[in-house]
Amino acid sequence: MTENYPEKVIKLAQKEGATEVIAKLTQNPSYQIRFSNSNIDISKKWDTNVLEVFLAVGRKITQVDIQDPTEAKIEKTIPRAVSFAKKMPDSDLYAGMQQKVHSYKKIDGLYDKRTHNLFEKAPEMVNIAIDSAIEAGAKRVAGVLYFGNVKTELMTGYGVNASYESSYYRSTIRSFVDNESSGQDIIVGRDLSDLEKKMALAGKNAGKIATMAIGGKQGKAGKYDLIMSPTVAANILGEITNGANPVMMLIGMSPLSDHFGEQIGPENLNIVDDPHIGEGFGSKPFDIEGTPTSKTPIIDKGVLIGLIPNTTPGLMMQA
Amino acid sequence: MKDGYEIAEHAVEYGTKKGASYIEARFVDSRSEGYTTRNGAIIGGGESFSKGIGIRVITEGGIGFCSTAKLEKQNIEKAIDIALKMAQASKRKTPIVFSEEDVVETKWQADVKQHIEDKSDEEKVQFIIDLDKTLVNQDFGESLVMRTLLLEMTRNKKYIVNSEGSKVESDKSLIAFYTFNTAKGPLGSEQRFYGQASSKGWEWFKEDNIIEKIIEDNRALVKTANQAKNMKLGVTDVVVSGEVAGIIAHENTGHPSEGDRILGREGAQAGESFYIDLLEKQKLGEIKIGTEAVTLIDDPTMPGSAGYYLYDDECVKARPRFLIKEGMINDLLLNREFASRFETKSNAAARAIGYNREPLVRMANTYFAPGEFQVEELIEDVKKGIYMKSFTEWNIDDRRFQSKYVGLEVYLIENGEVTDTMIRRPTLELTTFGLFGGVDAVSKDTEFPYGTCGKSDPMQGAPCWMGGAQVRMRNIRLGGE
Repeated sequence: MTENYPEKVIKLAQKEGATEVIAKLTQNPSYQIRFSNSNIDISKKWDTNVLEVFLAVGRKITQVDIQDPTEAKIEKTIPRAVSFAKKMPDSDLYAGMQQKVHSYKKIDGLYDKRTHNLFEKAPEMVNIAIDSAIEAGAKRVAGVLYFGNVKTELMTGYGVNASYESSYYRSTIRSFVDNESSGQDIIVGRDLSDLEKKMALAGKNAGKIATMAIGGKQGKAGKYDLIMSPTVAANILGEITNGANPVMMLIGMSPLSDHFGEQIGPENLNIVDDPHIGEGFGSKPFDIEGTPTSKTPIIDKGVLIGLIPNTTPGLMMQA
Repeated sequence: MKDGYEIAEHAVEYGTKKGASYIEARFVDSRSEGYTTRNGAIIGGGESFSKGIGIRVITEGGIGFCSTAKLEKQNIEKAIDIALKMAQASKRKTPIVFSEEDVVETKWQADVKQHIEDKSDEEKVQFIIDLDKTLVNQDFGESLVMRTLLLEMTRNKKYIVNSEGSKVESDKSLIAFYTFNTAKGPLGSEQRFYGQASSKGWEWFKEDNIIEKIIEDNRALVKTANQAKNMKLGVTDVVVSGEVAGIIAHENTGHPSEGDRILGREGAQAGESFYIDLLEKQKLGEIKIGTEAVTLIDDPTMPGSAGYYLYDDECVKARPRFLIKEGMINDLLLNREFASRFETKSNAAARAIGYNREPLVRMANTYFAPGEFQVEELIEDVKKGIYMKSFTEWNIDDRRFQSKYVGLEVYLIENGEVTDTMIRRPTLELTTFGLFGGVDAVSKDTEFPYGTCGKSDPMQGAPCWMGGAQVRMRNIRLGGE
């Protein structure tokens, strides 16, 4: 029974001498449909069933993935991984993990079980999006639709035993009117309601933007006021939140390393990381250590006030 | 391995019985191991194993793909059923057809003297720690203020079988070493990600003088941080090393030569190719893209190379592809699908980076073919110019026409000699025609740095060499400060 695998890992790793263990089992049937020149090029199905194991012997650490776990694979892999960790020098970046057991807030809208059968209708939805783009002026259409569902089970050596299910879809549609002029739209979410309509609208938007690009002129370098769409703004400002990762700061790879508490943007700039938005693509109730997720302000009125920590860097930064 | 062979053969039998006009099954047994140090301390390390199968089917003109690590007949059959169902539902207006190729039954393997799994964990950890110490103990070591060293080793054993009767078994190792270091100098800091890799075994470090290469590269990084100055040169002659020529060959020729990009299949992923504009007007062999000094080759069959293979992931025999021959576009990179679209044969460019990825049109080892000159002869004919030995950032548009390469270790050439004056970050910002149209001489010597070529969605990072000869370009307008 697959549900016993994380427990088996924890017990075996502890018996072999691991002082801290995390076992996370992810079962993820996922699908992709790729299209170009207004035709579906390929439809894919991946069966991903991975048991991710992190283990520490004091401050000596290692990590191993077991694909499609079985008892035999666990019995072969875990003693080797513990033995491997014991040979490693102490890690400068590891100072222990979450030790408390928590309860978790249910996030509404995280899971739509209809994704299990979406593969039957999905090619038709893609063709509807292509037709919408062409109706809006596209000469040819390319893109991708991903969808699937994930069952996540987490156990740690400190007694965390939690699970949740989620579903997702995301699609990019790029329309071309000639070799140079194109337009793009994206959709992303977890709830399949009205997905066909959303795909059609994304196709229409991509086709419309492509026609607007015809005859585009080279811009002149200079200073301008700039309005960014949510997609562009999130992409650019998202780089800042990537830099607010304490591990990146500790290893000197974050441009924000020396700027905590400083004004790094205008007063009207606020950035929040919210893992509890129902349709949110990154939403989840707990992290890899079993710590409950929470809304974290990162930039408040232009000031860098928050980081996205896990226990190790949090402990190290207090030291 | 043999259980994987049986399940692959069963998959082909089952898919054929269920109506696939073509089916191929690719079983891959992988082992990966890696270690990372930061400033001499191990910050990560481990090994991982995977075994799985990827299956591609064609039915009613559509393609379906499925992959799984659950190697049981019932599970495989269920996955094939879904792949067939989705392929049928594609309802393509133009059916996908593969080019006809020879049926082969063969084996190949990379030449390895000492497999990585025969070295102990301790030896490998100690090796990377010692190499960091070696760098610190150099006369320039103190200036390397941030050092990240990475050692990565993989071995893939593969068995591919298809419904036409081809069967190819292979065994390839890859060993790669990277330094990602920062040197601090009076004008600021310089950072460099430098990689070398080979399909040899542990013997590669000695046979190819890798430690010496890493030391010299870091010495140059420190020298650049200490000495490079801003300088405006305007229009000048440029000599680039094999490293710089290699990235140009890969980005400005290799990618636009990919058949799938040319015909739009990567339109929403890696991008398309300006070659389509050329091919709409002229045929291969008639399109002039550079001077006669320019010959660019992509060759998967180079022994010891990072992109080494003898048969591709569609069981087609590999050969060198002359992408540009004496200034004319000559070969495209093709898999079976796009060979059929161009009404020709595949030239074995199909590669997949794992069992769970579809084979795509990819480069292997792309390089500027050597010419007739010593590098000194390239330099002695330059009155004023630059010698660009390495590069830092670069970018290129998604049709691979407008490109920009920023120099890192760069020297001023005056009156036919390389001077001690170092120039800070000069920029080559040219179209592909501009780059190749300015080439007037190419050196005899070659070098082959390592790069991971990124393409597609989900991203497939393919190991490649990108290098070749040193190249002189005349009358190039330089950007930069």
